[in-house]
Amino acid sequence: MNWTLSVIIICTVLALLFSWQEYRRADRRRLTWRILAIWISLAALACIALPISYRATTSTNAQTDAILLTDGFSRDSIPANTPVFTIDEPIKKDYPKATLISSLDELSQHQPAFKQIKVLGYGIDDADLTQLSSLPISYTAPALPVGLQNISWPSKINTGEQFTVQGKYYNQGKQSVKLQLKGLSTLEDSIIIPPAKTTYFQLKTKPKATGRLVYQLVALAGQDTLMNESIPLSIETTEPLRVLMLNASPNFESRFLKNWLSENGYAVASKAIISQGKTSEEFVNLNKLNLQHLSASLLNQFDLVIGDLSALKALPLSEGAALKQQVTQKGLGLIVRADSTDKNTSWLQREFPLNTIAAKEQPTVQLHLQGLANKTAKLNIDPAYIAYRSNTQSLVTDAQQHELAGVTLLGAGRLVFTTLNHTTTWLLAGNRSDYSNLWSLLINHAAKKQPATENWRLATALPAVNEPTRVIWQSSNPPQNITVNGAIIPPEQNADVPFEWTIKHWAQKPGWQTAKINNSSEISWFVYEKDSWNSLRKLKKITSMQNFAAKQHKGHTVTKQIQQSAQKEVPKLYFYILLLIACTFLWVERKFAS
Amino acid sequence: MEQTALHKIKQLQQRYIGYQLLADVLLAAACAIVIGGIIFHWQKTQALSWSIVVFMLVAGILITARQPWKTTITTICRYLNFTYPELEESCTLIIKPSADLNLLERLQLHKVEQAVIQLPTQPPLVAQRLKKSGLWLVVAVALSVIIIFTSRRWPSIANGFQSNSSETIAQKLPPEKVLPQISSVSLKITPPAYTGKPTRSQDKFTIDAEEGAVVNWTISTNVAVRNVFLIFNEGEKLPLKGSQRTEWRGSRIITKPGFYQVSIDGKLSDLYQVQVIKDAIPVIHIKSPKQYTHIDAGEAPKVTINASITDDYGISNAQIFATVAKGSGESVKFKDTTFSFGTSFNQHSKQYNLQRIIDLPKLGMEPGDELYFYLQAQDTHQQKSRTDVLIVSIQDTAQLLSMDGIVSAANIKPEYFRSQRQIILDTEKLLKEKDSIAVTSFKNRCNDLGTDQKMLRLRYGKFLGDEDESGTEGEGNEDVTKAENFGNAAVIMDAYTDKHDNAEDATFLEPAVKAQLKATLNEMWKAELRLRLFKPQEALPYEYKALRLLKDLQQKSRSFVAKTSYNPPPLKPEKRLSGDLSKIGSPVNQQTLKPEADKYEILKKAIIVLQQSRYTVLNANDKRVLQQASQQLALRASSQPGIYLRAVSALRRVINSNASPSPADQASIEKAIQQSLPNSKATPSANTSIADMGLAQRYYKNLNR
Repeated sequence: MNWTLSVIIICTVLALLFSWQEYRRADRRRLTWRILAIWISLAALACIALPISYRATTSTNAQTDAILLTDGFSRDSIPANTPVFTIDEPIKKDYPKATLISSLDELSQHQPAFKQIKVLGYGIDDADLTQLSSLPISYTAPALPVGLQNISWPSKINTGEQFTVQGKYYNQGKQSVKLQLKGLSTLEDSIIIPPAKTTYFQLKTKPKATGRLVYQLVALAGQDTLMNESIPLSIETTEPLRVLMLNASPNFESRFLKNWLSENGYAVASKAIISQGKTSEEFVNLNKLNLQHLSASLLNQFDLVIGDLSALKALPLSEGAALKQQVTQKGLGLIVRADSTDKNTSWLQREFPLNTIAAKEQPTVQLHLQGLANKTAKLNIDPAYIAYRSNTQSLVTDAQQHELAGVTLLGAGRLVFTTLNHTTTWLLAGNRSDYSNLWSLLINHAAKKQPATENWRLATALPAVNEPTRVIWQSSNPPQNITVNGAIIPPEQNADVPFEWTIKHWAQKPGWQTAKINNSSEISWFVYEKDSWNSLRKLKKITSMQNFAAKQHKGHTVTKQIQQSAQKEVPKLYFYILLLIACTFLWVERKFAS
Repeated sequence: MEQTALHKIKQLQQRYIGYQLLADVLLAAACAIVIGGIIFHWQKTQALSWSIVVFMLVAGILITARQPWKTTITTICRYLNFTYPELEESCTLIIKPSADLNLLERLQLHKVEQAVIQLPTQPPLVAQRLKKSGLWLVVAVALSVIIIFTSRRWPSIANGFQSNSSETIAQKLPPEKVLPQISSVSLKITPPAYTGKPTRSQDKFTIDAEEGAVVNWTISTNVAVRNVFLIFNEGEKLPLKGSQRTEWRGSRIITKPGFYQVSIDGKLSDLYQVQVIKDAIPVIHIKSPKQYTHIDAGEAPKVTINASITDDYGISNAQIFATVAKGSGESVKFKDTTFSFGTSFNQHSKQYNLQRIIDLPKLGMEPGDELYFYLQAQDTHQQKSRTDVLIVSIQDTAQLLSMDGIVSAANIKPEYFRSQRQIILDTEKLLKEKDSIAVTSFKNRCNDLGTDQKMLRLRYGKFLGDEDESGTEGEGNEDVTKAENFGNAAVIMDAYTDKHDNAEDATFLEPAVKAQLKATLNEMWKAELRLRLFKPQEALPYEYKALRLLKDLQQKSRSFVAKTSYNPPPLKPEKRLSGDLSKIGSPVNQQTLKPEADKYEILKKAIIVLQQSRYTVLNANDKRVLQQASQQLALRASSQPGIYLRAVSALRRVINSNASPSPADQASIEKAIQQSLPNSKATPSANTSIADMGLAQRYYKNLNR
C-alpha cells in the first residue's frame, strides 16, 4: 500500500481514537483545546513521516557545482559538500561516495540544474564530450601521466632506408628505464632514460624485410615491462626510374653509375662524346632512342638527367634551353657533376659557387650524408667545396662541414650539384653500401616527382578498436566503391577541398585493416588495442578537455540569472516544533488539572 | 691487602692465558675460512668438512707451538715491572712468602701492593694479540665472501675444473618432446679416436657430437611397432633394426650438422638437433723472432725460435721448414732444410711451448744471405697449419759501403752519406791497426773520429730544427756592432735570440722521415759516445745502423708514387683526333638487365602472414606461404641447427594448428627469419606528388605569370 495513504489513515484513526478518549474523560475542562492539540500533534507526526513539498521558482545562482570524476583524479582535489558523479564503475568502487550514472545526459538533465560541472582526472573521450556541450564545464588537468609523452615515426619507408622513431619519455621513478626498439623480435636499438627526467629519444634501425610489419617499442625498468606497444610501418620497394646520362667523355664514374643503376633494374640511357662528332650511346632496360639532339619530347621520357658540367655547358643553345625548360616547367631532375671549376654563371652552377682550395695532395675524407648518423668510408675528393647559399640545402659534407653536394629548387624541378668525382673507388673497394647510400640520396632529391592520381593518409593518430578511424583519401576522381574489410563504407567529401574524401571506420578487431577503393587500390592501416599507448591517450584527453573547456568558456562569458521552477521540500523542523508544543500542552494540562 | 694484590696478579695470569688461547683459535678459524672459501670455489659440497679439518689442524699446531699455559706468575710480574714504573721493579715481592721478607722488603711490599691494586685490570699487552687475531678473522671472512661471490659470477671458471662427464653434458641439453610410443631412449656417442675421449651415453635425442663420431640409438617402445626410422634433414632415412619389435637399434657416423626426426609407424616426432663439434686446426703463436729480423754486423748470427702451439685435442708433430737464399740477382741459390724441435710429441698434449736456436753460419750463411722459414704443426686429426714466412737476413756490409746508390742521380745529400761511410771505414782501419800503434795515438784517432761523428750529427740535426751548439757566442753578430744599427731592436733581437721552432723547419720534412732521422741521430750519438770512450769495436754496430737508416731515408725519398684517383680531362675534339672520321660509326649498345629475383621474398611474405595471424585466422593461401618459408628455413637448419631448428619446429606448429601462434613461437620464427635476411640495400626512388587535380601545377603557373 502506498506509504502516504497508510500514514494518513493511521494518523486519522489514532486522532479519532485519542479524541474519543479525551471526550470520555471525567474532567471536561478545556476539552476543545485538548482535542485540537491531539489533532495538531498527529498532523505534525504525519508531516514528519511524509515529505511535504511545494513548487517554487529559483534562480541558478543558488545552485551548486557538480563534480565529474574521470580516470586519474586525485582525492585531494574533491571539494566537500558537492555532489560527485562518475560514469566509470571502477571509480565508483574506488570512491564510493560518488554517484554512478549511466550516461552524461543524466548530468545535463539533472534537476535542479547544476551551475557548473567540474571535471577531475584525465577527462572524457571526444565522442562523449559532445553530450556535455549544454553545460558549463570547468577542467583542471591532473599531473602529467608517466611514460611516453609524444612519439613519431614515418608510416612508410622505402627498402634500404633508415627507420627512425623519435619521441619524449617522462620517467618519474627512481629507476632508469630502458627503451628498446624491437623488429621481428630482435633488439634493434635501445636507449636508457635516466630516473626523474624527461628525455628526448631517437631509435634507429634499417629494416631488412619488406611489406607491412609491426615493430615493438618496449620500456623496461629492471625486470618490469612498463610498456609494450606496436609500431606499424610499411616498407615499400622502390619503383625504377628512367635516367639519362650525358658525359663529355667516357669515364669510370659514369660507367660504374650506369652499371649500378641498371643492375637494380633502372632504365638508363647514356651518351658520351668519344671523338669529333662521334658519340657512344648505351641503353639499358630501354629501347633505342635518338640521343643526338636533346628535345623536349626526348627529355619528357626521363625522370632524371645526370651530366658532367662540361658536357651540359657544351650543349647547343637550343638543347640547353630545352633542358632548362623541362627542369623548370615539368619538374625534371638534374644532377650536375662538377668536373671543371671555371667561374661561369650558367644557370647550372649559379646557385653553387665553388671554393677551390690549393692543396698539395688530394684530400681523403669521411663524408657525412644527410639523414645518416654514421660517416662513410674514406673517399678521395677534389678540393673544391660548395659555398653556402640560403636557397640551397647541403646533402653531403665532410668533417669540417665543407659542402660537397647540395640541392636547390629550380622552378618545378630540382637541381643537385656535386663535386664528388671519385665515388667509383668505393665500388672498387667492395663498399657497395656507402656507394648506394650516396647515390640514393642524390637521386632521391633530384628525381622528378611521379604524378599521383590517388593518395591517402590517416587522420586519426592512434586508431583503436571501437573508436572511429578517419582515413583521408585524395583522388582526382570520386571513389566509387569503398570497402573496408569487406564492408561497404560511404565516403564523405570535403566541402572545401574537392579532391578529398573522408572514410570513417569503426574497427572491431585490432591489427591491419585493409580498404579497397574502386576495386583497384588497396590501402591498409593498423588499429591498436583499446588500452595501448596509455600515456599518450591520457595526454590527448587532457588537451582535448582543455580545448573544450576553453572554447566553451568563450560562449558562457555572459551569465544571467536563469529562473527555474522546482520542487521544494518544507523543512521538517517546523513539524517537530508543532508536535512538541502540542504534546507539551497535553502533558502540562494533565499535571495542573489534578 | 697482600692477598688482594696477589689475587689480582693471578687473575691477570689467567686472563692472559685465556686470551692467548682464544687468539690462537681465532687465527685458526681465519685460516679455515679462507681455505674453505677457496675450496668452495670448486667443490661446494665438501668445503665445510675441509675447513673444519683445517681449523683443527691449525689450532692444534698454534697452541702446541706457543703453549700459553706455561706462562708463570713470575713472567707476569716481570711484565708488570717492565710496563709500570710505579711498581719500582718490586712486583716479585708480592709472590714471595712473607716470612722471607726483610724489613726493607716489607716496607716496599706495602708500597707496591697499593700500586698493584691501582693498576688497570687489563694491561695493553694482554689483549693485543687477541685484537690482532680478531682483525685477521674479519679480513678472512671478507676475503672468502669475495672468493665465493666471484665463483658465482664466473661459473665457467669453476666448471673448467670439473670433469667433463657425460652426465654434465646431458644436463645441458634442452628438454624435448618424444613420441608417446617411446618408453626409453639411449644414445651412445663414440667420439673418433683423434679426440682421445671416452664413449658417453645420454637419454636425450639432441646430439652434440664431435665430427666423425659414431652414434648408436637404442629406442625401446612400450608397444610393439612395425617399423622405426630416423629421418635426417627431411630426406635421408635410417631404418632401425628391432629384435622384439619393442627394442630398436641403429647407428650412424655424424659428419655434418643438421636435424632429425624419429618416425614410428609413420608418426613423426619433434625435430631434434644435431650439432657437430669440428676439430680446430692447431694454432701456432711465434713469440720470437719477429717477422723480419735483421742481424747487423757485430751481432751474434743466431736466431732463437720461440713458439707455442695449441690444439683442442692434441698435437702430433711440429717442424720448422727453412730455406736459405744465397747470392743476389740472377745467381741466387736456394737450399731447403727441415728442423725439428727437440721435444717429443708422443704424449699428444694440447699445448707445447717449443724452442730452437738456429746457428746461421752452420747453415752456410754469409753476410747478405737470407733465411726464410715457417713453422708447421699437425694435430691428431692429421690437420696441418703453418705460419707466415719469417725472414732473417744478415747484413751485407760490402753492399752497404758500395757507392752504387750514391752515384745515381737521385742522390740528394751526398756529402752526409759519404761522411758516415768514411767514419765506418776509418773505424775499421783503426781497429786493424790497433795493435801496431801507440796507445796515445790510438786514443787521439778515436777521439778524432768521435768529433767527426759529432759534426755529422749536428749537420743532420739542423734538418730537425735542432739548435746548432757548435757555434760560438756572438759569432755572426757583426751587424750589431755597426754604428747604423745602434738602437735597432730588430737587429739585436735577431742576433741574440734563440731561433728554434722555425716554421720552415717544421714543414721541411715529412713526420715519418723526421722520426727516422731522429732515430739516425740517436744511433750516431751512441756511436760517438763509444768512440769518445776509446771503444771503437763497440761503436761499429751503431755506425752501421746509422748508415743503414740513412740509406733507407735515401730510398724513401725516391720511391714515392702518389696513389690517387684520376679522372681523365675531357677531350678537346677541335684539337685532337682531327682526322677523317667520316667512315667511322658511333657505337650504340643496347641491353636489358633484369634485377635478379629476390630469393628471400617468401620469408618476407611469411613474416607478414605471421604477424597478421595474431589477429585473424590463417587461410589456405597464408599456410602455403608459411609452408614454403618452412622449407627454406629447414634448408638452413640442416647446416645451422642451433639457430634455425627451433624456428622450423615452431613454424610447423603454427601451420598445423588453427589457433593464433603463441608469442614464443612467433618470436622464435621472427628471430630466425630476421637472422637469415640479408641487409636491404638502398635504391633511389622518386617522390610522388599529391593527387590534387593539378592544383599545385596551376598555382605554380599563376605564380610564374
